[in-house]
Amino acid sequence: MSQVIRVAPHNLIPGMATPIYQDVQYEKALAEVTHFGELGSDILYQPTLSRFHTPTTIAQQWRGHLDVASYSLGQISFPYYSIMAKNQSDPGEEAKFGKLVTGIGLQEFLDDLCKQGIAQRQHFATWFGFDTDATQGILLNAGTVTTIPNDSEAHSTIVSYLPAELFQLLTGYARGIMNATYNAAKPVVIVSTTEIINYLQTIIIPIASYQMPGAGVDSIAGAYQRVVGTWLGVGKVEFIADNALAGKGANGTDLLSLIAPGLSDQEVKSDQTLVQRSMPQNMRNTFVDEVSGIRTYINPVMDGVKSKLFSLQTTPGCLIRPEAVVTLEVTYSD
Amino acid sequence: MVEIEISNATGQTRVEAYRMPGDKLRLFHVSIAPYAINQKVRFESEAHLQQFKLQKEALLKGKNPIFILGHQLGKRKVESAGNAVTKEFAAKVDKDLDKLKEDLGAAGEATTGKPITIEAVKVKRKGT
Repeated sequence: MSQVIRVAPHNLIPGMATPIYQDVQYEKALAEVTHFGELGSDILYQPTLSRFHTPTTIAQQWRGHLDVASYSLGQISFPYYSIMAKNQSDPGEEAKFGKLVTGIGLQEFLDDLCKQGIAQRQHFATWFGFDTDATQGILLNAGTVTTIPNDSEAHSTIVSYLPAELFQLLTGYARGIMNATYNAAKPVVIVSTTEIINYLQTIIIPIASYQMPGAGVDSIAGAYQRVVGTWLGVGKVEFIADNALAGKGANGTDLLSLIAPGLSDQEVKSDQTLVQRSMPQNMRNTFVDEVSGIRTYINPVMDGVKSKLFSLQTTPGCLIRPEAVVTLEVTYSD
Repeated sequence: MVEIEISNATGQTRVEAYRMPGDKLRLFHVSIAPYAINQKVRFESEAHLQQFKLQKEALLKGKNPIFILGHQLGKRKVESAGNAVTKEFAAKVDKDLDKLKEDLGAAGEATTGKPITIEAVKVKRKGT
């Protein structure tokens, strides 16, 4: 700890001035943080059922050849990783910290630092996985990737794009997710860099080319909320700003991703979806399995030094249905 | 009708839309399967193909192209292009993570003189 020189008498302003870091609500893109795993497990499996098929026979007087029902079982695997962080302090440091900083003790502060580090690592793993050259994480999985087409005046960056056409384009991708999943995947979460999300939330759609009943003016995000959220029936559309997505597309483009974290619990009115009705189903599309949350190991005091280890066993971001994620590679401005 | 062969160097399903100049409503979609080698794609006319090439130039040229146009005799060129894209991405994420480590380390060092390190270790055994 460095030397701090203060004049006496003096007063302290309560609270610390800290640099501002982005607080990412990446959990909103996850249906749930689950705790299925056990300590020491290597892999979490998701059993899958596909190609289930029951041929039926129709006859007026006599029956013909009767086929039998068939199905196919499979599984998806998600590996576990362990994220660890350690801190240590001695009584001298603790006393000095207490004299200089008010409101928090050194040990508590260091514990928070470790938890922050683990959370940041997990944040990246949720999007891109732990092994960046393996297909892991929600955004690196087999979902659809696309670049935005030119608008009718040949603009191709977010800022230059005609707002009405950008709105139509983004609506189209949400519609695509709903079409591909027979309206089951909802709600939709939109993740992109801070500048793109802020742009979408504030740029006004010109009234001459876009009009809504009872609304004179709206931003792309506002209109999106109503058109996709209410009219298409997606529910509340969340916009998440995350600068970890900056520059991660091909050729240094930013990512803008539409993610449907879960399936809606639809009321079944007939036997048409018998399998879905009679079987317990995993309604999550995106999730992270944190085995037992962050575990803290307090080491014995050695030479007056206290040390603590923080450990979290977790999967990278897991995605079950890739058709519910569309990632756009976009350029904010030229 | 113009037909060309496109290979996809990455494991991503690519659905690329392009728009004809002046057309405010219609988008034309081209869908290329992951790791596709010589997938045949049809365009309405030569003008459509030119627009596709123009609007998706970044994917066709650039340092590490994602689409490779024209018939490929083997898969070597496509594979090496795919590996280059993956490596480029991994380098970008690692750079960000290094920055996070540095920040956290600096915070630990400023208070106690000892940097705080974060490690992520795979629980999975090799070969499983």
